[in-house]
Amino acid sequence: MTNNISDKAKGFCVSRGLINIAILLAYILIIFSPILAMFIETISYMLSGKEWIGLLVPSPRKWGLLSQSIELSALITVFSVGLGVVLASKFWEFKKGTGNLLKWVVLLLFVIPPYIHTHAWGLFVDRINNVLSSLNLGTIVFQGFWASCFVETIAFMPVVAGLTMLGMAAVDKELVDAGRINSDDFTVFRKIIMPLSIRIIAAGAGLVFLLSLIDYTIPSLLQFDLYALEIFAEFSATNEPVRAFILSLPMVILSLTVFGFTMKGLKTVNLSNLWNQESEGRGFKWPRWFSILQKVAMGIFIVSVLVPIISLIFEAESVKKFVNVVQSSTQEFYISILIAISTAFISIILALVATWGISKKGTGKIWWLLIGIPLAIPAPLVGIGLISVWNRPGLFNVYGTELMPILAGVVRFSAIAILVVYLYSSRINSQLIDAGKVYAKNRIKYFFEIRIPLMMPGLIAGFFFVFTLALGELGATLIVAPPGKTTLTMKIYNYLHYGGTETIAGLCLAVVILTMVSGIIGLLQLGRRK
Amino acid sequence: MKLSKFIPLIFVLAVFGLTACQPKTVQNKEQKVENKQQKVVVYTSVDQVFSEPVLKDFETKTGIKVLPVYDVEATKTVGLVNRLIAEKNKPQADVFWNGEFVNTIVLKDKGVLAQYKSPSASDIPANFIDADSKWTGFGGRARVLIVNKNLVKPADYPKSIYDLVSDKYKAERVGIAKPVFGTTATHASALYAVLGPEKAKEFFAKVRDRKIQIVDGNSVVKDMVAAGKLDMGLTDTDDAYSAIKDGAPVDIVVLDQDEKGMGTLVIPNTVGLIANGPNLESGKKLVDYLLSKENEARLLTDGWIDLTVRKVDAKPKTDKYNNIKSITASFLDIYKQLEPAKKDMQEMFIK
Repeated sequence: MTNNISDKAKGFCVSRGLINIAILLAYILIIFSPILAMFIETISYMLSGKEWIGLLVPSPRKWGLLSQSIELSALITVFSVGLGVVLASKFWEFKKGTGNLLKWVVLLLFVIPPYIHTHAWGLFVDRINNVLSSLNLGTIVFQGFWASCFVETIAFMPVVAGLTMLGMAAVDKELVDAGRINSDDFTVFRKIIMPLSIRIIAAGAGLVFLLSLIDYTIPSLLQFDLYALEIFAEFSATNEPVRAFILSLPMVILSLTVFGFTMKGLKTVNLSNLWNQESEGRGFKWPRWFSILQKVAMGIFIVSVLVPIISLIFEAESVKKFVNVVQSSTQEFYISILIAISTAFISIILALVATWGISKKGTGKIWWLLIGIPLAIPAPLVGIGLISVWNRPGLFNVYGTELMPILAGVVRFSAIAILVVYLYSSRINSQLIDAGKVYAKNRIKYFFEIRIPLMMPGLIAGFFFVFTLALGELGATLIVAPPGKTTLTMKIYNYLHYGGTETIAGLCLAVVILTMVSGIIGLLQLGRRK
Repeated sequence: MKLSKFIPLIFVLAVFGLTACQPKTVQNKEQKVENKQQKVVVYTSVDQVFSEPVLKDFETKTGIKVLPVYDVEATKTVGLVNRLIAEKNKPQADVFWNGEFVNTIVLKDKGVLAQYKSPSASDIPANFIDADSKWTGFGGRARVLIVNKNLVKPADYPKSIYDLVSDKYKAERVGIAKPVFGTTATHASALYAVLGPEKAKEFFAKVRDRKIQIVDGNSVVKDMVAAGKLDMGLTDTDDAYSAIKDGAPVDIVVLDQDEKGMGTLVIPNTVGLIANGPNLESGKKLVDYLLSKENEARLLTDGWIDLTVRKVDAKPKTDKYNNIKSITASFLDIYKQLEPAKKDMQEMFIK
């Protein structure tokens, strides 16, 4: 009898192991097929005897570009973490009511695409310069390293702030309360809350480092060159994606190292249930200098939200023009929303299975490595890889349909959904899960009636992140967009060249409104599920 | 059960519903077109604001549904051309309508284009037609200097491209786009072809050493000059015209037009038929339409081009381009210098 049970358990473990490997393989097939296609072409290029070592081993100039890219990304990460943590500490005080819900509005800053931040801050500085000039006080030069650092910090800070808030909110309330009996609030913050949240903050830092390292658009607009721009220059000069891919490898390796290092802690992160915590009896008392820092961070946050939105409203000129712009772009709205929703939907399904895979011994480490790779590959190369895989006979004629930009979005951004969903699922009360397993009639019922509802806030948050990113995607979408279908972002960039200022502002405003509405719906859902 | 529980589901369904419920007429029309195989896929680097009306008119006149893909400047010209190369074994496009010529020659070299002698090109001069009839050029833009009239007096306008690197003008008040991408890269290749690589490189070394403002693109040059952030800058005529149209206090100067001057770079539009494209006949019809005199006249009026390759029934917006002296190098010579020039520019200007 005992042997019988043991055999069953063994068989169950073997089948679970097989399922785990099957999921991993399916993930590799969907996400990595374009990257693998590029990799295979690269190997054949290297074996063909063509020169490639010069691309892989950077020249002094390229080293210079790489080091200034690292310098900029590191500084953006430091500022984002500093600002994000201080901001999160302020928001953390809001434990109930509207404040508790509205604090998550910090995430909405993430919905404003980086090019809108650049555009808006440029206009803002112009207006300040006009005032300064009229007072004979000189002007602010808004370009170069520091301008890039400023705009990218504003653009990426919500990632750290949001994750830090998640980490801090999930710190065990009893530990905090016990600490507050014997120590002042700042000591509790420093010695209990921060150490318990540090792994999530590190994950946010890693993500910001990676996102800023691969983005050349903001620095390029602000006249600062990065290694990522060199990759595009190589691609543009030779029209050989393989050469661009080889050139990108040092950056990819660096990104993966940092990503792996900062995500390491997440594997062991152990969070309590955020929504079960009651509000503290008394408000927090911070040292004066820290209160000032919090106020400065809040000020920066409010200005960061207001500057782009007000600039866009001014540029859109009038409600009538705004409505006209939106009406003339209905097809672009349809296609953009369809792509963004589908991308987000597929990504959270992948996240659901990947989360399960990550938590398993054996394949867990492979998962972490795999998740980082697509984030570090330049977008056009993802597009070219997708063409290699899908533009061939017999593949259900997927190429040339809306599925291609959806696939591009899934390849590029499902990793973000995985991270968010994993973070959330790791703090679900294990007692609830155990109880569910005992009382559910079968596994399917357990999965749909217990597991999914428990994970729903995490799934909604992951959906929202990917929806936003997919809405703003350009590099890969342009390469695989079906003929006759233009996304809003493609249209905005097309008009950026032409210079239709009110059209650009109107479309950008529409994108911001659209993502904010979807974000607010997500936040309301998170609040409701408390 | 509370209705609010279903908010996300309602949102998702509403969006899908809206997407699915596109006007039926459009859906039916698309279906009809699909059935008759009367469609054509065109990839174009011409700004959507100019190309879309042309393609819509073609659709109206012929009943052939046009499915366009528009390029954007932000992808640093690695967008549609590389897509066409990647799709070569199973092309999706029928026609490539390019706002310049070098990338069209790249496509010819990569075997992406098919031979086609369009009847519409019968009056186009031979130097605008590829020797193998793989592409045809028409209508052109020119590289010009855009000057802020409030900041520079007409008497002080530069006459030659070399003036830009002279001490007469403050380097930090002069701008060009990064000569690694787009038409500025083509301009660099043209200078390589005309002056020879050494002299051209010397010129760009001066641009770099004098710390002339190197900005992200031609449209940025235009915006900065229009806003008075720069006194002057090199750009394309379409950008310069859009600044004038917006009421900016700018003037256009065509450089190197003296008797001894080397002339300026004129960049024609080019059109090519994609080899093995899915809609060959429709593709040919679109090529014919794009190369027609009427279309050239229309693009002149709309402001996309400023020069024509033949006489057309339309007047240019300015006389500045009448009898414009263009750089003497052939398109092929310029193309041959593209890769070495880009490599040098990459070394000099990305740092």
